[in-house]
Amino acid sequence: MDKCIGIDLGTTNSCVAVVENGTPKVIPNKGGYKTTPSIVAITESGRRLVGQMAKRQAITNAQHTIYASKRLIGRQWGSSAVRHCIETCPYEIVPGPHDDVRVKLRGKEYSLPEISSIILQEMKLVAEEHLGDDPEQTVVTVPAYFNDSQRQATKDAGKIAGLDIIRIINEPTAAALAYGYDEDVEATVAIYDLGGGTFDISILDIGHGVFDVLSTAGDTFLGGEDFDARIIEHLAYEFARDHQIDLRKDEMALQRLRDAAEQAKIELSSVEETEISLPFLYTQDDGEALHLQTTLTREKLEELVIDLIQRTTKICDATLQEAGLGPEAIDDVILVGGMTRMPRIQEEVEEFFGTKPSKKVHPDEVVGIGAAIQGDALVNEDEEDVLLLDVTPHSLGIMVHGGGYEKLIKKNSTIPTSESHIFTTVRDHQTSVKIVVLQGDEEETEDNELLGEFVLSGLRSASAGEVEIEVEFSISADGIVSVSATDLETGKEQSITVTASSNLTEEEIDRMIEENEDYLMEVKRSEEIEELRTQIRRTIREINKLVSEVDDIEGSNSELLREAKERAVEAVQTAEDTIDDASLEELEETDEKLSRALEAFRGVFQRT
Amino acid sequence: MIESRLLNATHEPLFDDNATPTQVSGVDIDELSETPSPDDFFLYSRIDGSTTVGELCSTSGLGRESTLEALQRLLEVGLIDMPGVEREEASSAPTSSDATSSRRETRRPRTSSSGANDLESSRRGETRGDDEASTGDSASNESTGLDLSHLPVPPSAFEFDDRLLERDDLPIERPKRRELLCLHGQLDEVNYYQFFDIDRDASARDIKHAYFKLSKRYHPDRYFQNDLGPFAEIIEDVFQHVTRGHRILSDPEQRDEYDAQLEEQEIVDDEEDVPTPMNQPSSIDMARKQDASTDIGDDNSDPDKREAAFRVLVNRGTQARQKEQIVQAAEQFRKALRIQRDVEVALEAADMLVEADLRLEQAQLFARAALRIDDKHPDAHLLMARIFDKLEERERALEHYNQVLDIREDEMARRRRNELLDS
Ligand SMILES: Nc1ncnc2c1ncn2[C@@H]1O[C@H](COP(=O)(O)OP(=O)(O)OP(=O)(O)O)[C@@H](O)[C@H]1O
Ligand SMILES: [Mg+2]
Repeated sequence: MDKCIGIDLGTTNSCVAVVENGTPKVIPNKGGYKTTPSIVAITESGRRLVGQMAKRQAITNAQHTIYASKRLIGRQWGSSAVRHCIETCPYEIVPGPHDDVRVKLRGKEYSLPEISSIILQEMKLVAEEHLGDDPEQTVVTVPAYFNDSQRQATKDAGKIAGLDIIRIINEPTAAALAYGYDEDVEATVAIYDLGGGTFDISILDIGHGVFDVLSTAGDTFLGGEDFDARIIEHLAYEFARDHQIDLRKDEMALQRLRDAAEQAKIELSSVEETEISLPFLYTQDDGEALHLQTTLTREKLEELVIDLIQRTTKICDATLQEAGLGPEAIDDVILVGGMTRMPRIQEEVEEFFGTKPSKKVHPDEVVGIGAAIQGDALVNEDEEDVLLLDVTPHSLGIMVHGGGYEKLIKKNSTIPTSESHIFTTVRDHQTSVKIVVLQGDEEETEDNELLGEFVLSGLRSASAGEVEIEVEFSISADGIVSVSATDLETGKEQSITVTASSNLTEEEIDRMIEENEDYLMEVKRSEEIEELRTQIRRTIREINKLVSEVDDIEGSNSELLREAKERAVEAVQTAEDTIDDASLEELEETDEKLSRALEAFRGVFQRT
Repeated sequence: MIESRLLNATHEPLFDDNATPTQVSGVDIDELSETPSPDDFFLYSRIDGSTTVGELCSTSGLGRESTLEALQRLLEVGLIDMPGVEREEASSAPTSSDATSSRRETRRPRTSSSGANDLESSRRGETRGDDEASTGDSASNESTGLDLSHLPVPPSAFEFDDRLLERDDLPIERPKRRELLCLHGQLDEVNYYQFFDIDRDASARDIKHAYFKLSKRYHPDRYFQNDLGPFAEIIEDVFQHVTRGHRILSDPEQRDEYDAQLEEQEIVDDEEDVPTPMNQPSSIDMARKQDASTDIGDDNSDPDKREAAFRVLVNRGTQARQKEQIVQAAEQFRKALRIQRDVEVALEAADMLVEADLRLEQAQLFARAALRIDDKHPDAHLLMARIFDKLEERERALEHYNQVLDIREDEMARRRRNELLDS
C-alpha cells in the first residue's frame, strides 16, 4: 500500500498525519507534540531552526525569526496585507524581483515559498521518523479562500522541500473529510475555521462518502494574529499613556508583548480574567527599568475583538446565501482552528446557525487528518469510499476590450472545471492578441487579482473579427488555473501556463532547490564533523587515561612503552590543536591517527 | 450477432464521387423500417438521376460528411439506388439503430431520431423488463458496469470504437469503457434527467443522490495518476457534464427554465412529429452554451460549423419562402432556430405564417421564441396579437395589442384594439 501523508501547513501551527490500516492518525514530533509551530529562524551561525526550537529563541532573535509567513505567501508587494505586515513584523520584509515579497534574514533574502519549504521539510522529517521511510507523496492544505498565486506559491514550497505534492486541498474541506470519514453521515454541514491567520467557511453536503462543497468563502487575512494585535495595541496604548513610550518601537519589548498577548488570549478562554506581568520590559535612557503589570478581563478582550468576530459571521451569511440555504438548513456546525476555543466565538456561531457546534472533531488536528484521508483515497485505488467535490472560491475571467471584466468561470463552480471561449481580433491586420487573466469577484476590474497576461501571436493577418482563437480556461482539482489556446483555422495549439506575475520562475525554483540541497548537505556535513569531534575527544580521553595508568606503574616503564606513550601524547597534542577548525577530511585523518596510536599504546602496555 | 455487425461496420460510407444515385420508385414511405430525418428527405428530393454524389455533397448545404451519411441511410432504408453498391434489403435492418451504423465520431449517438428517444424513455418506466430482454442477448457479455438501457441510444445499439475497447494498456475495465463511451457519445443528446436516470419530477434529494452516484463513478480522481490515454478526456467531459447537470437541476430557478425549454422542444417535436435532426444540437443544449457566452466569442465546441449551419438553414428558409413553399420554409427556420436563437429569424418565420394564414400554432411558437429572447419586442407582441386575433381569442389578442402600445405607438394596433374593445 502506498503511503501518502497529509500536511496542514498552518499560519501558527503545522500538523502531519497519515492513514495506517484504514485509520488516520496524527504523527507527533520528536517532542511528542502533535503540532509544530510554523516558525523559522536563522541563527547567528547560519543554522536554520524550525518549530519549538525557533519559538523558544524568538524573543532574543526577533529580527531573524519568521512567524506567520503564510500571511505573506503568494502576495504582491504593495498589497495592503503586505503593508500591514511590514508595519507590525519585527523581521525585515523587502520587495522581490517580480513585485513579490521576500524576507531578509542575516543578510540573505528568502522568498516566502522558501520559508514555507523549511516548515514542510520539518514536517516531512517528523513523518519520516515515524514511517521509517521517505514519504512518497503528500497532500498539503491551504485556506479555501487562497487564490491561484497563493496556491502556486505553496506548491513551489513543496517542490523546494523535495516533496511530491499530489494535491492541494482546502482546509475546511479537509476538516469535513475527517468529520465524515468512516461514518455514514448524511448531512448538510458548515465548517467554521478560524486559525492563526485565516478564516474560512464552507458549506458541504455529505452523503454516501461524497463530500460536496456547495459554497465557500473566507478572509485570508483574519485570524488569531489579528486578535493578538488588538491586545498588543491595547497594552501598548495603556503603557504609552502611563509612560509616554511606544513599546512597539522596541523589537524585544514588542516580541514579549506579542507572547504575553497570545497567552492572555488563550487563558481568557478558560478564566474570566488574567494577569499580564512583564517586568523590566523597557529600559529608559536614564537606566530606569519600566515594568508592565495589568489585568485583562474576558469582557475587555471581547470588546476589543467583537468586530473581528462579526466579520466572520457576515461572511457566513454571504456563504449560506451562495449555497441557497438558510441557517436552519445546516444540520451540524463544525469548529476548526485554535481560535474557535474562544467562548465568545462559539456563542456567536451558535447564535448565527441556531445550533450548538459539534465537538466531534479536534480543532487542531482535523485538517491534517483530512489531508491524509484524501491522500490515501487518491493513491489507493480501491479506496472508493470517499470522494471530494470541491469548488473554486473565486471567479475567473478575462479583461475584455474596453477594460471590463468578463467572468468565465463563476465562483463556487465544482472543480475540475473548464470553459472555452472564442476570441476574435478587434483590429484589421491584427496579428496578436493580449489576454489578461483575472481572478476575483470585485466590481472594479482592477480590484481583482491579476493572474497573468499572455500574448497570442503569429495570427493570420485579416480583417477585424475574422481570426478566431479558442481559449480554454481550466481549473484543476488543486484549484490551479491553466490556459490553452487554439487557432481555430490552423488547429495550432499553444499552451500557456498562467503563472501569477508574482510567482517564482522555474529557474528560481531550481536554484532554491539546489540551495536547499546544499544547505542540507552542509547540515549533514557539520553533523558528521560534530560526530567525529566527539569521537576524537573520546579517544583522547582514553589515551590520557592510559597515560596516567602507565605513569602510576613506576619503574616498569620499558623503552618500548615509553616510546608508544610519547607517540600517543604527541598525537593527542596535534589533535587538540586542530580539532576546532579542521575540515571533515582532516578530522577523519586525525581520528585515524589517534586510534592507531591508542591501539599501539594499549598493545604495548598490555604486553608489559 | 447484431453487436459484431455494428462493430465491424465501416466508419465512413464509401461512395464514388462520380456515382449517380437514383430514387427507387414505388417505395411506400410510411412502411419504411425507419423514418428518415428531414435532412435525409431534403437530400432525397435533390436526387434526380443525374446529380452525382460529389455534386450532392457540395450543394446540399449539409456538408460532405453529413451528406454521405444521409445517402447511406437513404440507401439502407431502400429509398435510393446507387450504382456499385448493393442495396440492403430494408427488412434486413434488425433494429432502428442499426441503420445508422455509419456514423463516425463517438460523440454522436447512434440513433436516427429523437422520436425514437422519446419512445425509448417513455417505454422505460413500464416495460423495462422487456427492454432488457430485447437487448439482453447481444449485451450480456458486453455489458456496461452501470445499467444504461434508459439512454436514447442504449449500449446494445451503440457503435463502439473497437480500438478503444481493445487497448490493453489502460487501467479501465471493459464494461466501464463501454459505459463511458456510450455516455460520452450522446452527451449532447440526452437531457439531464435521462443522464441522471431520474424522473422529471424528481425531488432535490433524488437529484442529489443521482449526482453523488454519478460523481463517484466518473470523477477523474478515481483514476488518479493513471494514464488513461484517450479516456482521460472522455472521463473529464462526462464528469463536467455531471456537474453541469447538477448545477442546473439543483437550482430551482435554473431547473424551471430548463424544464420549460425541454417541454417546449417536445411540443414542437410532437406537433410536427418531426424527429430532431441528429447532427444538430438541440435548443436545450444551445441554451446551456449560450448561458456562458460573452460578447467576445460564442462558447461552443464548434462555432464555425454551427454558425455556417445556421446561415445555410436560414438561407434555405428564405429561398423556400420566395418560392412560396411556406411549410418547407417554416421547417428550415425552425431548424435554424434550434442552432441559434435569433429574434429576427423567429419573427420572420412567424410573420411568414401569419401572412400566409397557415399553421398558426406554429407561428405562435415562433413568436413566443422571439419573446423569450426579448420580451419587450413590439413586433413579436404585434404578431402574437394578430395570431390570437385570427384564432378569435380576443382577450389574449387584446392583451398583446396593449403590450405593443405600451412599447410604441402603432396605428394598426391601436385601431384593432379599439375595434376589439368596441365589439
Ligand atoms: N484556547 C485558546 N483560546 C483562544 N485562542 C486560542 C486558543 N488556543 C489557540 N488559540 C489561537 O489559535 C490560533 C492558532 O490556531 P491554529 O493552530 O488552528 O491556526 P493555524 O492552523 O496555524 O492557522 P491557519 O489555519 O489560519 O493557517 C492562534 O492564534 C492561537 O493563539
Ligand atoms: Mg488551520
